Order: sequence, then structure tokens, then C-alpha cells
Amino acid sequence: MMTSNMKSKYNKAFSILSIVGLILLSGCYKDKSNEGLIDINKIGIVDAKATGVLTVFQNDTLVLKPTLSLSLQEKANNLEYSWVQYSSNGNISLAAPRSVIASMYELKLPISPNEYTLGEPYVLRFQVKDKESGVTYYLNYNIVIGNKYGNGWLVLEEKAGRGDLSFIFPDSTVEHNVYTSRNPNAPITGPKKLELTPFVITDDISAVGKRLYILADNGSQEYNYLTMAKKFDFSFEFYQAPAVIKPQVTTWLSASAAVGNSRSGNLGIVINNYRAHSNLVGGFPGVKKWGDIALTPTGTQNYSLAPFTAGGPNVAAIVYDNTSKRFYNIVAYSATPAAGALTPFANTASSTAFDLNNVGMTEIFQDSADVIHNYNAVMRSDDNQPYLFRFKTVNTSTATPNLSVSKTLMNAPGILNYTAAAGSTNTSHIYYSNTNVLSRYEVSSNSIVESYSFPPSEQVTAIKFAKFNLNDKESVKLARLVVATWNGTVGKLYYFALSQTGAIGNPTKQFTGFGKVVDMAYKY
Amino acid sequence: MKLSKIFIKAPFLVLAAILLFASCAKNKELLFDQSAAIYVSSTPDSAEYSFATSPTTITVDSVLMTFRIIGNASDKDREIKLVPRAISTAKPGYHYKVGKAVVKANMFDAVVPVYLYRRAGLKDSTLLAILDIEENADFKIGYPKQLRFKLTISDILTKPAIWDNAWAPYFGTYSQVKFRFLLTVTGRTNWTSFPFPADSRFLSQRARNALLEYNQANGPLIDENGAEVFFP
Repeated sequence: MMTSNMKSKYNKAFSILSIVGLILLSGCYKDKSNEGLIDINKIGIVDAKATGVLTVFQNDTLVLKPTLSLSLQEKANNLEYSWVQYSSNGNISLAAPRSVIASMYELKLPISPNEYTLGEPYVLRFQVKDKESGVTYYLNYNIVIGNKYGNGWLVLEEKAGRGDLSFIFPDSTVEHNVYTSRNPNAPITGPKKLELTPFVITDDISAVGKRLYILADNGSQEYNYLTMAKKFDFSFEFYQAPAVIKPQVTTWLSASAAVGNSRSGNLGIVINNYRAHSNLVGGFPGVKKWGDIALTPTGTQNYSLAPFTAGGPNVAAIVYDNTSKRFYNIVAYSATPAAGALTPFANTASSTAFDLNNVGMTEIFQDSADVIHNYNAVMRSDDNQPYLFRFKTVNTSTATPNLSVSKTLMNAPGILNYTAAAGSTNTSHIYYSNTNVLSRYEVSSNSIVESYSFPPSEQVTAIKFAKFNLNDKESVKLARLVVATWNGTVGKLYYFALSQTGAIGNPTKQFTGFGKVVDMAYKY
Repeated sequence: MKLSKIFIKAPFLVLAAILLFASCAKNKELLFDQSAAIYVSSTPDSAEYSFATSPTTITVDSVLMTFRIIGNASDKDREIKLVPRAISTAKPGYHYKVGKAVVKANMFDAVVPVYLYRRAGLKDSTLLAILDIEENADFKIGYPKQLRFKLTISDILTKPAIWDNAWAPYFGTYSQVKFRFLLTVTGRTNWTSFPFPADSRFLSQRARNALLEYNQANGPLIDENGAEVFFP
């Protein structure tokens, strides 16, 4: 007979066995939950364009068509496509709104400047949904809105009195009517000069950046450096606009000893109607505009500047007065003498080569020389002889700056009547033109060492020298001379790849279809 | 084991348990709950205003006072009580009027305008208005040394206090004629603060050109001391 203790143990064992048995038996139940499953159409999406960041230019149309691979090809008609777009600039938003911009397999997206901001990154997401299973597959494209006019030759031309711009891209393709297509409501009459700054300017009139000006008889203006759309009228950039608007120079100079675009602009010089105006920028707050007419040391406006200026580490700005036939210094910041006034150079500034304060000739040309902070100025003497004056804007020493370097009677036939000219910053040469002939004047030998003749019907209208070509793939980057001609009907532009000794040789490329080219500048 | 035995055998364990339980008590929040106070935060806490540097067409102008609270922001607008001190010579409502003196809801500071009126008497008098903060239902008074804003109003052309330091390097010795000429040709009305370099450059250039034009048209400009006006 079982005792009560034994009975209790038996009951416990029975209970445990029963529970285990029930659990084991429940495993025998047939699971029918996967009977309704369907095969998923597995979709692969690939596109080489999605592997990096895709640069897209404004006004272009972006075409994207990724390659699809389906595990169930027979269900290809059961797919739903969509393209989603959002800004991926984390500085603006980490949760930028998404928008569906297309519902086609192939995307053809116009990159309108109004909708796609220059320099901004975006994500374009291609989505494919298998309508039967509801599963969506996707592929992201990272795009950034670029500026196709970022790098190349900007050409200012005159067409029936009106100004326009053309652009020569690094791949040597040309786009005409760049100005008029972007500024249909701001026509230029009588275009004279292109002014591009190689470094950024912090004038607080607009965002920090490089500056682009077009000077013209009528309607000189500042333009957005990237888009070339008009920003400001010339007169807006002055505290008080000059009574006569006749701009000849609008440029920015740097006191930095560095070179290229690593410099920073500090003093702007405008020469308008032969008078100087200046603009000091720096770290101080407030909008900086162009000041009033600079006065001579005797407090008069009795001077007439040549349309050239230069600056450097020890001379904020140097200008030449063709009335008193001398150089002046423009001081960037000083209470007395007044900043921005024409100031004589100290007696110690000049060497025995010539006196900056007493040159006695008329300046007809000036450009950079082959030594940094050195400049060549071509002068016409009273007896009609050409002289080459070389000066510099960096002191030899504080005690004896020796800013005047040399004075040479030039053996350069025709230079007094040059039609266009440019100085080399690589070699000791000045390239200049008369009618259809391009000449290479060598400073060191004081002679013409080479010339090139264009067809007789073509007159040279503009010459520019570029120290190197940013897109040059050669190991030795060659300087380039760009020469524009005009035959009375059409303008042409020639590239010359200068040798390492400055030789012109023959044109390496030729472009046509321009108006009368007035000026050119390399934009970068 | 009986409870008494636990106390005897493991007193530290019991103590630790008591301490642990004690830490479960809800802390009282240490929040600032004092009444809000207010003080003048303008730097400096005074203004000297003269209509003389403004064109005659300007008959009303304003200066701004700034205030800051001590305490919490409120979900309703709160009024600042400003009372003119007895020694004030400017008449409220005639020479000046204090604008809406309110710290807006959810704000910690306020900017209060004082409107100034160009009255005839200001041509030969400099008037004083001292506005004291007084306690009201919204604010107690704040820091003792920042409880008033002092304002002087005139229409008399006086030499700016900073002339010798700020303007003499550009324009030389002060004279009333020279100052009036500068006011006319530059259009600048604020001569009581130091200019930025870009401004001083332009003012200096404009003044010199204007004086050149004046002298060419009218002969030399002579000041009240009989001296020819010039800029160094």
C-alpha cells in the first residue's frame, strides 16, 4: 500500500510526464502557414554611374537608365518604377524632404538652375517595386550640381555694337551667346574689357567669392562668377557713383607674397574716366564699396591715369599718371595722407634706373614680367621713342626698396602702334601685334626674335598669355598664347602652345564664329 | 532564522538595506522659483543724442534701450515699469516718449525704443531724462547699479567726444563750420562711434573732393575762428 508521501511523488512525476508528452505531441501538428507563399522576383539593379558622385551641369538633361536583372523574368511586366529625390547636404538637413520626381524606368531630368542649386549634392533613388510581392528594390545615385563654365577661356566679343560672351571649354568645344542667353534683360553696349579676379574677395556686398566684371561704354556690371548672371550695376558698387561713368579698369590687388589664387584680395582699384577709386576689404565688418575720386598730393583732380595698375607686398597699388608723367602709390589704409589718395613714392623707393616720381613719358602698355612682382611698362617719349621701364612692387630692402628696376630704349618696331599685347610671366618676352602680324619681343636681347603672320585680311584684336593650362595632361605644362583676329565679318581665335623658351611656333588650334573679340580671360 | 538573529549576525547588511531603501525617496526639485527681476543691459547705459547732425527734415528719431531679466521666461508678456527721475529736465510726451516697455512671452530680454522729438527749445538747451526701473507686479528690480537709463537730448552742434581720437586724424582740428560741412557732404549722422576702415576711407575722400569743389566754386571755406577749412 502506497504511503501518502509516495502518492505525492507519483502525482508530481505523472504531471511532469504529462506536460512533456503534450509538448512532444504538439510538434506533430502539421504547419500549413507557408502553403500560400509565392516565389519572390529578386531584382538586381546596377549602374556604373551610381558608384561615385556624378557631376551634373545646370541646364543639361540628366539621363539615367540602370540595368535590371530579374530572377523571374516572366514577371517583368509586374514591376512599378519610381525616382525619388532629396538633398543630401547634411549641413542643411539630415531629414530633407523626399519627393517623387518620375515614375518611368528611364529618367530624363532637366537640371534647371531654379531647382538645382550650384554646388549642392542630391540623391536620386531609383526604386523598383514587385507589385505582386510588394517588395521594393532600390539604387541610389549621388549627384552634385556642377558648373560647366568653371574652367575655360571666356571671350568678350562685340556683335553689332552689343556685347556677348563665348566660352571655350577644356575639350576645345565652344559655346557662343553665353552672355545673352543668361542676361537677356541686361544688354551691354560697347564692350571694352573683361575683369576676373584670381582670388576670392570679401567685400560683403555679396557672398565671398571671385569677382567677374564686364566693362563697357554703357552698362558696366558685376556678374556672378559661376553663373555669369548679372549681379549689380557698376554705379551700385560705389558709395557715391561717379558723375561720369567711363570704366577702364576694375580690378583687385593683393599684398600677399604668395602667388596664384592662394593670395587674398585686399585693395580694389577702379580707373574710371582716367581717375582712380579704391576699395579696401579685410576682416572688418560692414559693406565695402568703391570710394570717391582719388586726389593728387596737392588735392586736385588734375591727372589722367593710364589704364593699368599693379600691386604687391610693399606697394598696395601703383598707377601711372599721363598728365604729370609719373607713377603714384595708392595707400590702402592711412588717415594722413588720406587712404586712397595718389601719394608720391619716397625718395628712397627709386633706384638709379629711373625716378618713379619723375618718368617724363606717356605709358601705353603694362603687364606682368617673368619675375614675380615685377612689371614691364612700355612708354612713349616726347620724341616718339618706345622705352621699356621695369618696376617691382616688392622692396629689395626697407631702407632701399629699389622699386624701379631698369629703363631701356626698345628695339621693337611698331610697338608704339600696337593693337594688342601681352607679357609673358614665364620668359622674358612681350608679345604684341600690328595689323595681322604677331611679334615676340625679347627683353633680354632687346629685339624682335620671332613673328607670325595671320592671313592679311585678319587683324589682331586681342592677345592673352596663360602661364599654364589647368587641363594640360602633358608632363611639361606649356604656356599658351591666345590670339584673336577679326576680318571685318567674323572673329577667330588661335591657340599657340609656347615652347619653354617662349617661341610662338604655329597655331595648335583654331576657333571661329566669334564677333569682334574685345578681350579674353582664363576662368578657373 | 529569526529577525533578531539577523540584526545580531549581519548588522551591516541590514544597515545597507535600510540605506538602499532610503535612497528611493523622491527628491525635491531644486528649481529657481524666485520672482523675476529686471535690469538695464544697454552698454553704455546712456545715450547723448543731438538732432544737429541730422538734416532738418528729421523731426523724430529714436534711441534703443535694452533690458534683461533675472529669472525664468514667462508664457505671457510682462511690463517693465520705467519712471522719469525728478531731476529730469526733458518732458515726457513732449521731448520724448518711451515706447512699449514689455518683455515678450518666452523672452529673456527686451528692446525698448525711446522716441525723441525735435523741439525748438533744443536749439539752445541740452535736456536730461533719467528713466529708473521700478518694481511692479511683473518684475522686481535687478542689479542695483543697472537700474536706470540716462538720455541727453539737444539740437546743438557740439564737438563729438571722440573727435580727437576718431576723427582728427582724418579731418584735423575741430570747428563748427568744418563739422557742418562734413555733415552736409557726407550725409553721415553718427559721429559718436568709431568708423570702420572702409567708412573712414570714403568719408575722408568725399570730404576732400567736396571741399575742392566748394573752394573752386566759392573760394576758401572759412570757419568761425577765421581759419580756412582744410583737411590734413
